Amino acid sequence: MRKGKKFFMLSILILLTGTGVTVWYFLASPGAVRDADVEFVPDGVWLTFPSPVRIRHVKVEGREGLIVSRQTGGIKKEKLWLVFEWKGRRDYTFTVSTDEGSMVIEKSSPDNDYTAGIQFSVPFTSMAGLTSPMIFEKETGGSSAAIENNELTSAFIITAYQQGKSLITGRITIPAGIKVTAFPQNRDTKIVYGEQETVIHFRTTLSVAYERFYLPFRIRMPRQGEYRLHARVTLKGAGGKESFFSRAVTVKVVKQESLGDTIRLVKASMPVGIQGIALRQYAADTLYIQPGVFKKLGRFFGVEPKYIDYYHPFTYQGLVLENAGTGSIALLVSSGIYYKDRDIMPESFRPPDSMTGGTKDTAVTVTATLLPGEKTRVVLPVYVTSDPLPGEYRRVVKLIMMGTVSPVAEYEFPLHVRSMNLTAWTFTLIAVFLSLTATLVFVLRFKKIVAGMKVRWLVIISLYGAMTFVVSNVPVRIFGAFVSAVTGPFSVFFTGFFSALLYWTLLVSLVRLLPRPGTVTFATLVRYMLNGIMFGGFQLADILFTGTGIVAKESAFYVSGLTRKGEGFSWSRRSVFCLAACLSLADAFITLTGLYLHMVLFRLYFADWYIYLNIVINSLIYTSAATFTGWRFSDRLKWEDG
Amino acid sequence: MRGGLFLLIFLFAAFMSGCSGNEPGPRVYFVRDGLAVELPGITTVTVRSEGARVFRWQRGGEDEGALLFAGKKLLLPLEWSPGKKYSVEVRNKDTRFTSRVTAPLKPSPMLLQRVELENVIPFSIDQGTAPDTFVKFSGDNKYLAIGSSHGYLRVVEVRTGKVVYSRKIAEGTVKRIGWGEIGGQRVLYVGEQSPDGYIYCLDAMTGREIWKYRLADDIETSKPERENDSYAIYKFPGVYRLKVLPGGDVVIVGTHGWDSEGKRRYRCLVYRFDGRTGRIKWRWPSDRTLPYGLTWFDISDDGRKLLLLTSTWRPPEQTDSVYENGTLYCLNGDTGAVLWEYKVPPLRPYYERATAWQGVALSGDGRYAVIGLNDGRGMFFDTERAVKTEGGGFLQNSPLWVKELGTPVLIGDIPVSSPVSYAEAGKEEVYFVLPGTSIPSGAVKGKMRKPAPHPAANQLYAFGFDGRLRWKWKSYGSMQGIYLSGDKRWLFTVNALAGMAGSRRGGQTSPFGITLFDTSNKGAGMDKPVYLYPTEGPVFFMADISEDGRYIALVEVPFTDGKGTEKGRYRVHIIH
Repeated sequence: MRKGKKFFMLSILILLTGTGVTVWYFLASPGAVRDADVEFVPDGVWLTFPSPVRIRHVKVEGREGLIVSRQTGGIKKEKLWLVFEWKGRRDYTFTVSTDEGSMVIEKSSPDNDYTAGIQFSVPFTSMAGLTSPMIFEKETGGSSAAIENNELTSAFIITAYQQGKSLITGRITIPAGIKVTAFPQNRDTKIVYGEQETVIHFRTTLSVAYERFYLPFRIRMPRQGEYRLHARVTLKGAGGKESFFSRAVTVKVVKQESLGDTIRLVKASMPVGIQGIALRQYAADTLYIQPGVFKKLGRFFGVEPKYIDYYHPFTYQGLVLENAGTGSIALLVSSGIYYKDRDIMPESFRPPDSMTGGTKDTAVTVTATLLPGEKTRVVLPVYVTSDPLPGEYRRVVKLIMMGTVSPVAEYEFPLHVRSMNLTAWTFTLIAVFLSLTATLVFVLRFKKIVAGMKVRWLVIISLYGAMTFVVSNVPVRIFGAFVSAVTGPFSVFFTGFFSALLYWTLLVSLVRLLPRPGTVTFATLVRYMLNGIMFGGFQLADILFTGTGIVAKESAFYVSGLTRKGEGFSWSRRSVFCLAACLSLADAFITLTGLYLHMVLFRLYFADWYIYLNIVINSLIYTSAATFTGWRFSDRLKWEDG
Repeated sequence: MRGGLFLLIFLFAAFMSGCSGNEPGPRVYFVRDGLAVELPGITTVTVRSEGARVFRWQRGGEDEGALLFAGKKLLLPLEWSPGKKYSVEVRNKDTRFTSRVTAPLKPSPMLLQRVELENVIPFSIDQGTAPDTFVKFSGDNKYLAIGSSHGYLRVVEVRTGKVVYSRKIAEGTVKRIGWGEIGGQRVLYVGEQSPDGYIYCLDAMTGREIWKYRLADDIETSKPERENDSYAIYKFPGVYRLKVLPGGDVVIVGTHGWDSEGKRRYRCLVYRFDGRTGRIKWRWPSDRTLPYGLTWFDISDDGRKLLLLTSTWRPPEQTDSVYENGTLYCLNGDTGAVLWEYKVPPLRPYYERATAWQGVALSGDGRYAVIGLNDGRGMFFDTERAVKTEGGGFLQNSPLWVKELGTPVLIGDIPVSSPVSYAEAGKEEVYFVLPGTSIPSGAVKGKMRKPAPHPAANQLYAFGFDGRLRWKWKSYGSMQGIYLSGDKRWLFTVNALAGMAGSRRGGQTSPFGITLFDTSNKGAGMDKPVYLYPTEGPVFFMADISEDGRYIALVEVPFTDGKGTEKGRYRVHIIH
């Protein structure tokens, strides 16, 4: 007996300490400073740390002595930009003082003076960043794809990164067959048409660092084939020093029909998260719209945000596109939601007009550049600016190659708009009824319930309540988001270990110690209060969930005979099976209530399979198993009354 | 059992002791025009170089220009040169420390105070906005007034960091603040954005109300068209610009723009108040409200010339018979009469009218004017060059030069522009800041996410009055605002996050903070920045620099990045 008690007390201590240390580990910084990545850019250096660190001071030393010595006030940063003028092929020492200690990094600057950044894009679909090393190379080549007879916007961009006057002269050679349809008309730019090629000659002077020369031009692509466009530039800097740069792009021109085979829609999902990861626990292709009256109620009870950001997407849809070709492809991806039987967008799905400027067109469009052989995830926002009528709609997605008008591919997906789920509402009403009833009974019979409890019983119940909070709520709170991010809808396998298996184990062992009505109620209330105080949970959903949980659990223990018979309950295998069945049913009911409460109060429309998964894992497997482990665990415990 | 318990307690204490990372000695580093020494309870500092004493400071003694902040941060005046070695002896009541330091090439920022503001919900890439906040140093640089998005006004003593008082004055946002003086008493002029849109004159040291004026009586009030709209505050009347003139008068612009029955309505007015009594000296227009938007103006140092641009981002629901939309007006600051106008030609085909945000500025003497437009153009004017035209009307002016900095370029098939959102005039230079990239309204079919940054986005341009590019700076994040010290030597811009919710994707979420430039430095590019002061969260675009350039106040706002990580807090940093 003494051994069991000792074991029990030690378990509690280990659990509390383990949780404390875990919390400390995640809140406090680890003991050693990790390494940092040093990246030289034309205007200094970027320091990138593996995770955010509190930086107090940064020092940069070079051959010329102390260059930078900067206080940073202990701010938490993952990346830090240090502005200083470095010289090529020199050793620099970076000393970073953080709350975790100091680190010294030695790094040599690249063998490149970063005189100028040069970008040549056909088609021009994005600006190369300063941290893109390719723009500083002397010679680069690339490839892209285009559709025959279509126009492409192309550009040559040069940015000076050094002070002083630089004379830039260059030529862009365009093979015969490609027609230049537009280019800047000024005295420093001229075009020469030849039989073999068309050449754009240009010259400019850049006099200050960061000054940029931008030469856009439009070309019409000829018939199918491969065409190589080439830009050569000479940069004459101070002292007559010359630098030469060469950029080439090979454009593969194909027929529009064949491009449809090159670009493939691998997957389309809705709803998805902001990063495009599918939210599989929610019903696919479904939007759940709360009835207005419940929105108001939700706002009144604090479960709905007080203010609405109408510019914020209601949800997102994600597309995975694949480029099976050999050249880069620049696409416009547009999506609209229309009535099922006509090509009209309902007013409710119109995006906010801050960017459309009130224009009539309503599709949501994003751009995507697909490198050869690349799969890209494209995320499109879905706006709901007023409440649409429940029913069936169509989501139309179009892939349009830049420079073309007709889509290369068009897809249609269903969209179900739901406003009322009878099951969810039934469960919510039951939860409200049970919570109110439980509260009334508890308040009206409080004296009688408490009078029947000895003080030491209440102490042990409180201890168990606190333990269930520590082993069940705290780990889920700490690891829940991470586990959900990694395992998605299957996080129930991991979180259920704490929230069901450990929880029910402790609860069964508690009720075995004190087999009487009210034990579960007090333990649950202690857990609820601790959770509310530590993490905040005094919301309508929590109150309803807790109230329903108390009634369901008390009923299950009572029906199984454990709290009805008290000490007279026989802990035979058969009785425990019966107890496990009752508890599993109760937990299934509680799980369902929780999910449906979320559906009603938080507009989260769960997929049926996700609901079943929760019931099977949490309620049937974990809760049944917990009944037996609780039974075995409590075998070692014996209540010494008196 | 008991032994195990002690072991656990010991282990826990050992773990916790590892959390502390404070350095025991003083921090000594080089700052603008001086040396910073940080040590709690600091009593004496002696600075030596090459064996000779170059500075000595003692608490309670002659300060010789030294400034002590919150009893532990000392700013010593010292003309240091890069590479020079110094020995700094620092004492507090317990210990004596000696630091040997070498001067770097460039100074470090010095954090003087941090003032925590209210709890606000962090905005994110796709939701919400940064809380509207305003900061303003008093003329003698001793105090900083802070107006917050929840309507609180705080006055903070710069040297001690002590909050003199914090008071909720607005049922909305404290939008603009100006310092003044009535009979030797410091006063604050505070403009709010709220259903009433009051401007208050308050005793600066107590917050006691001296007078107030309700703008909604003139420019109307309104109700948000949509229920629980989180941007509803911006649909109320508010003071969008407030300047206190040397004589004590206050000039403000009252702006009210809201949506009603599918139309965009505006009611705006410019006022000049007698700062002592709150009496209106003039208003423009004098007999009616302007049906166009006014978001900014500038006024010459003597208050005799005032520059503004009428603009609306959507067609206004009505027009005025005399004043036009998309037009630059130069007013007589004494009377409110129009001196001249310039009807800015729209940049077709992408733009139907010229619009501006805070890109309107006058040189200190009022001679030159500069405007930055949302279509990407920057223009420079001589305010004395207006001429009469046939048919009467106002005198007409035209720009001396125009720069097409951020005008639309095609990226793929999509035109993108970079608005010149901020403009300022220095002594011999004008500055333009282009904080981001936008797609001209209605230029493309469908709501479009920007395909790529405009080639000129996130850049600061400095042009001479002659139109020659003198220097440039490129930021990795969204550069916003231009703040100049009284002598125009110190200039800083903030690094924030551009745009409305839904248009911020693709922006950098690391290089938050401010960049300080010394415009008097010779050279360009890398020669101009003095330092970057990094912050955890983005910096709100309204900030301030004290008249003497010594202090900078910036507002850090909490933000949740694309990965869901919360960065920064709602607080004000005062730095040197």
